[in-house]
Amino acid sequence: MKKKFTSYAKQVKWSSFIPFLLAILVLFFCFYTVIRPSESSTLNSRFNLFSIIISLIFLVLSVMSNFTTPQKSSGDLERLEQVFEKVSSGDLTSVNNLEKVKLGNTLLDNFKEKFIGIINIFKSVIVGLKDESKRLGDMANSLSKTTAQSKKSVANVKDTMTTIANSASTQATEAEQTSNDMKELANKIEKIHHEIDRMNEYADTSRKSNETNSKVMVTVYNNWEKERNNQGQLVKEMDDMNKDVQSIGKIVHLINDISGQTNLLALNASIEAARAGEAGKGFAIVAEEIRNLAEQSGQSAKSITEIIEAIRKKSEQMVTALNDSYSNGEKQTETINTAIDSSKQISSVVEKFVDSIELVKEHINGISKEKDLVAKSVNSISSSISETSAGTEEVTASIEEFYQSLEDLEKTVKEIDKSSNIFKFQVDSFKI
Amino acid sequence: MDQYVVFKSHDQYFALPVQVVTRIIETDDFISLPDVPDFVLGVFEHQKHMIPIIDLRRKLFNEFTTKSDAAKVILCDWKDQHLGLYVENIIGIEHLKETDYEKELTQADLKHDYIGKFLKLKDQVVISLELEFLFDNQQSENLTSTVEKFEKTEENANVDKSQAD
Repeated sequence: MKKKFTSYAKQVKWSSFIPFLLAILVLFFCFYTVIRPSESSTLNSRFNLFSIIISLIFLVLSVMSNFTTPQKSSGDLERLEQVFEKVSSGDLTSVNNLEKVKLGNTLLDNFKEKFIGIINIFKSVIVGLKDESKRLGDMANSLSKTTAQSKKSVANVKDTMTTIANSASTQATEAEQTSNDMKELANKIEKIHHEIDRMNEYADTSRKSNETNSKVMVTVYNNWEKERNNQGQLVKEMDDMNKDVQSIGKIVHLINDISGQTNLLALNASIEAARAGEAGKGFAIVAEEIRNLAEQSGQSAKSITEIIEAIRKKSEQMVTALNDSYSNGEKQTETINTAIDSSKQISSVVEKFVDSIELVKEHINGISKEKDLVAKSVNSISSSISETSAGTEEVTASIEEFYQSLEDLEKTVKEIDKSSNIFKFQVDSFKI
Repeated sequence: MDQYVVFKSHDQYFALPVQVVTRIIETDDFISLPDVPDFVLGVFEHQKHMIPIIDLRRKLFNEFTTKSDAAKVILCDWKDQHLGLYVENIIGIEHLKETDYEKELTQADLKHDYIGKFLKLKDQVVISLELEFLFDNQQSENLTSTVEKFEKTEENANVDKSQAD
């Protein structure tokens, strides 16, 4: 129903209704400009009637003109024109309908046959173009995919290279650090070497001093030995002197005895004289004198005894002191001997010390040599790392260039894709 | 002023008239006697006489005299025979003054008979001994008889010895 209507509507000539529309427009114009300002209801209702009649007349006339227009006069030529029009817009399917059309004119029929042939050849070309465009599109797609994949891989390689470059750089820094550390170590080893030389000198000085010390100690020992002999001699002499003093004491004792006896004798003489009375008076005086002398000699002997006793005591003290000194001297000798022994021990210790220092020196020399080797190795490692770093940088640069090329390629591929799409679109615009 | 032999015993000064004293000797080597009082130290042979020796300190003060170099024996006349006094020390032969002290002592009934006089040597008081009253009768007799006995046996021994020679 709807289709019928549309096909019918298509056949209606809408241009024949223009006078009817113009008439309605004029009527509205008149109504608004003339009738309404007059404000007369009668006029208004008359005009409305008038307008409806006029409108109906125009409408009938329009419909009449539409159905009275002749159509069969052009006929098949118009259909030909329509097909041509469709073909020019790219729709080649309408050509199939053309074969049924009979123009009645041979020239036109020939013309129509040739046209159909051209269109068929064109159709086959379009079909081939469609196939090619499809293949081109596929190829562009796969190329695009491949490029994207390559780009990804290259990006990965780039990342890896960056990591390698970073580690190479770190290694280079560490190698540099190691090299510096080695230099510092070398300096320290050199200092130790110096110190050991100085220690050696000190040890040598110490050894010499100790030797001198030993000699001095021996001299001291000898002198001390002489001193001790002298002391021994002195003790002996003191002893002899003591004996002499004792002999003196004995003599004095004898004197004392004699004086005592003389005294007694004088006493008895005095008694005799006294008993003799007057006759013994002179003798009594003599006896008294003798007694006095004896008394005096007794006193002297007593004094001498006291002095000798004092001397004896002093000499005893001296002997004791000397003996003490002598026995202390033995301790002194022991001390000196200990000192000499210590000195000898010091000598041996110093010698061992010197030996140890020599050993340390040898070791340090070995370390010094090995240190040089290590420094060389470290340097070679450092230079290798530098070379590696440089190589890595070069590789990175190449990869960067490659990446850039890949990007260019990608762009080009995109361009190709675009072109192929346009091509496809254009080919597709033909309906076969 | 008479002359006296002055001596010391028990740190006291004593004196004997010079006429009584025959000799002063220095010895402590005496012949011991049996059965005699302890103040008799023994006998000493002097000029062919056996002289009994008395320790004066033991007799008067009941203490023995300390032996020393200064100790001496005073030989003196006693009842027609000899007697030896062992004393600490001899001071000497001195002229001594007499005092009146003994009278006061007599009045106080403290004076023994053997104290003759109190004499003065400078500031020291010296007691003059009366040998006659040194011993009581019994002691004197015993002493005399003992010495005589001893002298006899000694003489006999000497006679025997000379006969044997």
